[in-house]
Formats: sequence, C-alpha cells, structure tokens
Amino acid sequence: MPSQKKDLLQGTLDLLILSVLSGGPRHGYSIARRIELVSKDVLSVQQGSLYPALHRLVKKGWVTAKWGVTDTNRRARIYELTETGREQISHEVSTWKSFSVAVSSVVDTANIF
Amino acid sequence: MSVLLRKIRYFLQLLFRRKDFENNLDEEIELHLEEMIQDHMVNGMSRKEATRVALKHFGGVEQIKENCRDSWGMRLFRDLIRDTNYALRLIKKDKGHAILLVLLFALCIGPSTILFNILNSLYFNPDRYPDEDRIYCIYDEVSNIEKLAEDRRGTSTLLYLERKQQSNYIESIGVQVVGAQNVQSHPNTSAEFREIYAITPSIFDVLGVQPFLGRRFYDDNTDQPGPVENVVVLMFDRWQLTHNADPDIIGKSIIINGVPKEVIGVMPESFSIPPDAGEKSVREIGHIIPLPLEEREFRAEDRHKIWRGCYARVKPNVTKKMLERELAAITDANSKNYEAFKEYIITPRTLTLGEYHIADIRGTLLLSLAMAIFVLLTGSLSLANYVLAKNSSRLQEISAKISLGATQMRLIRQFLAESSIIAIAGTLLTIGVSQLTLIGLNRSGFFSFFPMAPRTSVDAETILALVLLATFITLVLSLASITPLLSRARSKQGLHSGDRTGSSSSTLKRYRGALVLVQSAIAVILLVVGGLLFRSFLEILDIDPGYDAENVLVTTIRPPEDRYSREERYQRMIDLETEIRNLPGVRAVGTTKWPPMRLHNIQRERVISFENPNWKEAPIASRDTVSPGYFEALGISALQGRLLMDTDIGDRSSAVVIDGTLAKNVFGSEDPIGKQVAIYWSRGTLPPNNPPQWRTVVGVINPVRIHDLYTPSTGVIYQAIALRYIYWFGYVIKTDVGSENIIPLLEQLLLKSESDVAVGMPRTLKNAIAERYAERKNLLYFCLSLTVIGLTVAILGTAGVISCTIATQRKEIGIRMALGEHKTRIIYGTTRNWLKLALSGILLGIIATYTFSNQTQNLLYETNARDPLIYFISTVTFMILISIAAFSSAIKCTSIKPIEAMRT
Repeated sequence: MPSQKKDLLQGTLDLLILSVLSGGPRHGYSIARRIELVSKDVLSVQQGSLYPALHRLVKKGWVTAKWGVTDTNRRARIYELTETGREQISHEVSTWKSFSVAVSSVVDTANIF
Repeated sequence: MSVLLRKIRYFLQLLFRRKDFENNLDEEIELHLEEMIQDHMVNGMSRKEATRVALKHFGGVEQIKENCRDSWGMRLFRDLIRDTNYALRLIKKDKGHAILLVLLFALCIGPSTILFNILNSLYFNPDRYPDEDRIYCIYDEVSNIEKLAEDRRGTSTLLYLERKQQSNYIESIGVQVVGAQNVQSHPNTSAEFREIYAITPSIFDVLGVQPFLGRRFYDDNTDQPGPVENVVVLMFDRWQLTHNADPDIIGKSIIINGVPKEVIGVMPESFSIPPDAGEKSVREIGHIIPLPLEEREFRAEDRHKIWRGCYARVKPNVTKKMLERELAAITDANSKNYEAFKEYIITPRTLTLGEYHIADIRGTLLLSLAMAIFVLLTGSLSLANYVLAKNSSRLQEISAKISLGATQMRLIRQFLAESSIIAIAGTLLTIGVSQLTLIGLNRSGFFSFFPMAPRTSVDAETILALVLLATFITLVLSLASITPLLSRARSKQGLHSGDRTGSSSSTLKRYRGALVLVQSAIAVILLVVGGLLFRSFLEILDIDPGYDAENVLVTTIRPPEDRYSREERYQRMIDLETEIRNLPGVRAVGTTKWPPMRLHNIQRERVISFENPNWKEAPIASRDTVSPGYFEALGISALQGRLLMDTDIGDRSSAVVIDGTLAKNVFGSEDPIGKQVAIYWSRGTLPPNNPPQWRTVVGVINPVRIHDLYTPSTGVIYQAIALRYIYWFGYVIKTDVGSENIIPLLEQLLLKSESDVAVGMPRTLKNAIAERYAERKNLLYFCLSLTVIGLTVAILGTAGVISCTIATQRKEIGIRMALGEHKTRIIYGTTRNWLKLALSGILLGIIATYTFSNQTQNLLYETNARDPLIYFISTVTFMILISIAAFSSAIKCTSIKPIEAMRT
C-alpha cells in the first residue's frame, strides 16, 4: 500500500518554511514537525532537504538564525522571518496560488471515467 | 544598498568565520537528531532503537552537511582551499621533489623572463619619453657611399632644414651631436675630458622633456650658422655628483673648452639621452649645450655629407610609412636644386627609437632569445618528464581514488592545485632572481654595448607575461602528466600494477621516451652553440692587432679651438709631444689624430693609385695622421721601404706609409714603394670636382687593426702630421712599466700651462682592446650561462626521469636478480637502453644545429659553425652526462637485496 505521506514538490519547501515561520520563530525540527502536523501528516519534510533550505533562506536574508532555548528548555538554533522574508511570503503565496489554479484547471479537464 | 552590504557581510563571515558556520551546523544537526530520539523514546522505544530509527529517517549526516555547505555558496572557493590543502600535504610529504620542481621551473622561465624584460624596455615598450612611438630617428643613405658600410645613422644640416620647413607630418625636428670636450666644473678644480651632448633647442620638443630646474635653450637663431647661447643644461647625475645637488646652481658658471657657460637648467632624473647617430654603446654624458651650426654645413656640396644625428616627433596618427613617403618626396623635390651633385642619390630612412635600440644588437638578442627559448623548451620537457615519472608512482593511489568514486575533474583539479603551488613558488623565485640578474648584468657592464641601457627592474608587462607563461606551462604539464595516468588508472591496471612488476605501461614508456629524446636534442643544440661561441671567443683573444700594446697609454688632449692660431696650435702639439717624451719613464711618444681603439665610427677613405684612378672601384681604408714617434711607441716596423721621418712632417710632404692589406688591395703583387696614391674622404667631394693630390708610398707595414678588432682591416694609410690636419692631439705613449703611472705626470704637465684642459680619456691600450672584447665577451658569458642553465635543466630532468623510471622497475629488477641474472648485466642493459634513446636525440640535435648553422655563423669570429670538433665534443659530453645519470640510478637499484626489492 502506498504511503499516505507525500514528498514535497520541488520548490515548495521554501514557501512552507516561510509560512510556518510567519507564525513565529521556530527551530529546525519544530518547523519539520509543524509542516507534518498542519498537513495532517500528508506532507513529509525530508530532513536532508530542510537544513540546506533553511541555510539558503538565511543566505537570501529572508530568515535569520540565532541560538536560543526551546519550549522544552533545550538549546536550539531558532529561525525567524526578517522584514524581507515577510514581504517575500506574499509574493511566494501569490505565485503558488496562480500555479495551483493553473494545475487545477488542467486537472479538472481530465476525463477520469 | 543594504542588500549589497548584507551580502558582503555574509560572505566575509563565511570567509573568515567558516569554523563558526561548521560548528553551528554540527551542533544543529546533533540537536535535531536528539529531538527525534527523544520523540521516539516518548513513544516507548529504547534509546538505542530510537537512535537507530532517527538516524535512518534523518539520512546521511555527512551528505546533509555537504548540501548545507553548498547552500552557503562559494563552493569553488571551498574546493580550491580543499585541493590546495591536499596539494600542500603532498608537497610536504616529498619536500625534495617540490624544491627540485620549483628550481626547474625558475630555471626554465628565468632566461626568457630576463630577455623579455630587456626586449620590452628596448623595443616593445620603451618609455623614456612621452609618446615615444611618435619619435623617429631620421637618417639618410647616400648611394655613392652606401657600399662603404657606413655605420653612422645621420643626416646633413641642409636635409634637416628641408624637412623642418617642408614636412606636414613632422611636429618638431632637431639635430644633435655627441663629442668630448674639456669641462671645468669649478674654477679651482682641474678639468675633465667629458662627453658633451650638443643639440638644437627643438630636441627638447622632440623628446618631450624639459629641465626640472631652470629653463631650456632659447629657440632664436637656431637654424643659422653662427654663435649660440653660452649656456649649459646639466644632467641630473652630474648635478648631484659634481655640484652636490646645489639648488642654487642656476646662473653659476661652468667652463667648457675654455669658455664660461652659464648653467640654465637641470634635467629630470628619469631623462636619458637618445643614442647619437650610429652610436653603439651607452655614453656617460653630463652636460647639454646648444649646437652651433657651422657655415660650411650650409654649402651645397655638404648636403650629402651625413653626420648629424637627427630626431623628429611626428604628429599623432602619422605612420612610419607615411613619414618615409613624405621625406622621400621632399628630398627628391629638393635634389633638383643640386644638379651638380646628382650622382649622390639620397634615400631617407627612419627608425623608431625601439627599432634603433635593437638595430645593432639584433643578432645578439636573437641568439640569446633562441637559446632562452631552448632553455624554456628543455625546461618544460624536463618538468613534464619529471612530473610524469613522479606521478607514475602514484598510479595505485589514483586508481584507488577512481574506484572510490573520485571524478576525473576532481583528480585533474588536485593535480592542477599541486602544479599551481609549484608554479607560484617558481614564478616568485623567477621574479626575484631575474631582478637580481638584471641588476648584476647592469653592474657588470653587460649593457654597455647596448645603444641604451634597458630597465633594470622587472616591469609589470614582464610579470604579466611571466604569469601567463607559468599558467600555460602549469596547465600543459598537469594535463600532460595526468592524462596518460588517468587513462591507465581507468583501465583498471593501476590497482594491480604493483602486484605484477611495477613497470610502466608501454604508452607511458613511449611518452617518456619521446620527452627524453627531444630533451637530449635541445641539450645538444645548446652545447654545440655554446661550444662554437667559446671557440669564437678564443679566436678573438688570439687576434694579433699588428702592434705591441704592452705598456702603451693612449690619450686625447684638446685645447680650446679659439685659444691659439692654427700655427700656434700646431706648434703646441709638437711641443707637447717633446714635453711628454721628456717625462720620466717614457720610452717613446707619438702624435695621432685617431688613437687606436678609441673610435666606433671609423673615418673611411677611398684610396686610388696613379695607375688606376677609378675612384668608384677604389679600395677603402682608414686614414691617420701621425708623427714619426707613433710607430716607435707601438713597436711597428717597416716591412718594405721606411717609416715616416721628421723630414716628412709639414704641409709640403707627400710621403705616406700603408699597411700590407691596403698595399695588396691597391697594388696587388706589385711593389708599392715609390708609387703614387690619392685619398678621398668617403663623404667628401669626389673627382672631377676635386682633382687628386698625389702622395708617394714610402713604406709598408704589417696589417694593423687600429679601430676595430674583429673586422679584418681593409687597410690603413698613414700621413705625417701637418698644419692643415690639426684639430685635436692624440698621443700614444710607450712607457718602461705600467703605462697608467704616467697619467698624474701628464696632468701636472698640463696644469702648468693650461689648467682648463684635461688629459682626455687616458687608458692603457690593453684596456682599450679589452673594452672591444667586452661585447663579444658579454655575449659569450650570457650564452654560456644559458647553455649551462639549459644543460643543467636537461640533465636534471633526464636524470630525474631515468632515476624515477628505474626506481619503479625495482621489483622487476629484484625478480631478475632472484632468478639469477647478474647485477652487471642488469646495469649494462638499463644504461644501454637510455643511451640508445639519448643517442637518437643527439642525432636530432646535430641535424637541427647543422641546418641552422648559417644563422649562427654571423655571430662567430673565425670559427666554422659546422666545426666537427665542437659537434664531437658536445656529443661526447652529453653522452657522458647521461651515462653517469643512468649508470648511477641502475647501481642504486641493484644495490638492494632481491628479497627486499620484491617486498617493497
């Protein structure tokens, strides 16, 4: 039986991370868990992709990283959206929406039966 | 802007705080895993199980870290650092090999660097004057005297004026002359005989340089005969040395040839004087004076007498071709006004300063350049050979890396990094050594036979060329050494090669063999050329000038022209000869117009006989006006007839003495004694406008080389001193011992009568002759140095390859010895194989040298460029050197026990 969890489409991880961080600062593991939780375990974040994506966003200046403490009182590297990152979300979201509408339009025309 | 600043900050952090990035990443991933483990443990797993599952879900930690590093950027830089570190580790592991490679690299490109620097400063980019490419030396060839091989590149005053007035392309033009005069810098000091640069004021415009202190000459009345300003401009060095850089020098007085001249300016330190017409060597000049043009220069008959140096600055965008075409048109148009001299066809010529600088040393430079290129080639081959041989021993390592997934590009990059480090070290070493060599060459007087001394510091263009060359060599060497290795390693032989025999594949062997072959060929070419030059130099040292130079001093004394009447001057010259003769230690003294070995530009004469007065076919000779004591001072005796005597002195005398060469050229096998000859100055007026004045040959002496040592004399004719030939006094003084000891006595003698007249350029005749050797000697030393460097490089490279190759055959040798093969047989066989290869290279080298021997011949004196003895000695020498290299390596390999050899 195929897994219910779906791999992320290439390029969507950045948007997901930015969306999660728009709710407040989080560390890497927490971001991955949040994505799985919100997507009701449909989306699975490959651990190997998460950190390169986070570092890429830091490099772009959309996200900052600082050492801090988690809710469970553990030391962790906390990621937070920057002003540029916030501006970028709306752009990324509109791009994604127009993309998904376009995909839906095509998919809706499919003659399944 | 803030985005840019943030990016810069990020990259700087990445560059200088990379360790922080790495530590953060390590800790972050560790903490992430710990979170995962804790979550699994909450779900009831043991820590061990939870760790296993977390690691499984997380994926390859190192791979994730690598992906993160990629996302940081600067991957190329990171790879570079990593490859460099790897290369540094390899170099550290085998320091001796690295040092040898660096030395080889420096030896390989060093000579080319030095020569390029010389060529760049003399020819490609001479930067002594502003817009130097617009400055031209203008000179003329006159058809009637062209075949006399006049080496003076000059023009006449009338031709100069025609061009100045009629050219549309010339912005400014001037004439100049360099001559020695008495200079008394301070009233209380004795005079010095110094070279003076006399110019028309426009030369300042031509060269685009002005005095940095004071002013230049006024332009008034400069193109007319008559007196000029009594002023002098000092060269920077003279101002510093003689006048202690006196800032108030302007307005002070210097006595030049008895006439006080006001100092009006000092030239900047960077200013150097362009070569005088036909000048072949750098002269030390301290003073610049306005050039007075003489009345006679404006006569129609003097239009074709070319002896003034001339320089012009053309307008922007005027090419050499345009200028030459215009000059020819102007000259042709004006020649119509000189119908009486129409047999003189004047052809204007031009040389850029760069062309002028190398015109007379082209042969020397070309030979040196050819040798430097050979050194570069042999050096590159040695390097390639040596790197290849050395890397062959890494075959197993390369194969292992390929098996473990290393890409070809990665391996090439690693090899490139190693070669680059060697190249950078070699380039730095080359720059340092080249700089020192240039300074050394300058101090040793190597550049003294150059028309202008080249820059003695390695310039930016040379460094750029050097870097390009080094990059090229590095790329070629790396690829040349890695390509055959990679192909072999990929063929999966590498991992097993050691298990078999350790010998190289046939491709590698062929590749190495070809390199050794070409290298041997180049080494032999260098050896042969070096040998030929050495032999040529020995021949020069063996030249008999035709007189005895031992304990002879030559000097020129030149009292101011207007101090005496012609008669008084003549008498003064005779009196001075007598006074010198009476000095203690003087055995003989003679007066001469042209002291031996003092002139570069020889006055050439046509000598016709009464029997064959055809001046167009007349032999060429140099003329001198001497007193009878001249022959005694130089130990010259008469072969036939007699020498000049006191009774021959004076204007009525017609007696002349000729040397054996001229006697043969004019009279053939006939007895010349009592025969009539007439002399015509090569640039003078010829018959029928100038009827011959017949003179009688009273004696014949051995052929003498008075002015030039290497060129066989075309003949010399001596006439006795007379009132009409007096201009300056040259003396040859024979002393009992150490002729230079007479100089202070001469100075005292002059000080008593004329304190402002100097003993001009006194030097022993032996030193004067040695100075003439200097050019050839310097060329020989330079080429021999290149030969030694080339040979060292070739031998080092070849020996290295032989040694490395034999070393990789150690196991094979061990097996052969274990199977009972005798050590001597192995040594003999190995040496013979390498000698066979070297012999093929030698043959190739000999064929190449023999083919191009015509080009070498021009630079040799009395030496055949195809001299079999030199070829034989060169061949044997190289064979011996190669034999030693192969023999010693083979002995070393066979010296270990077979068991040990097989175990390694």
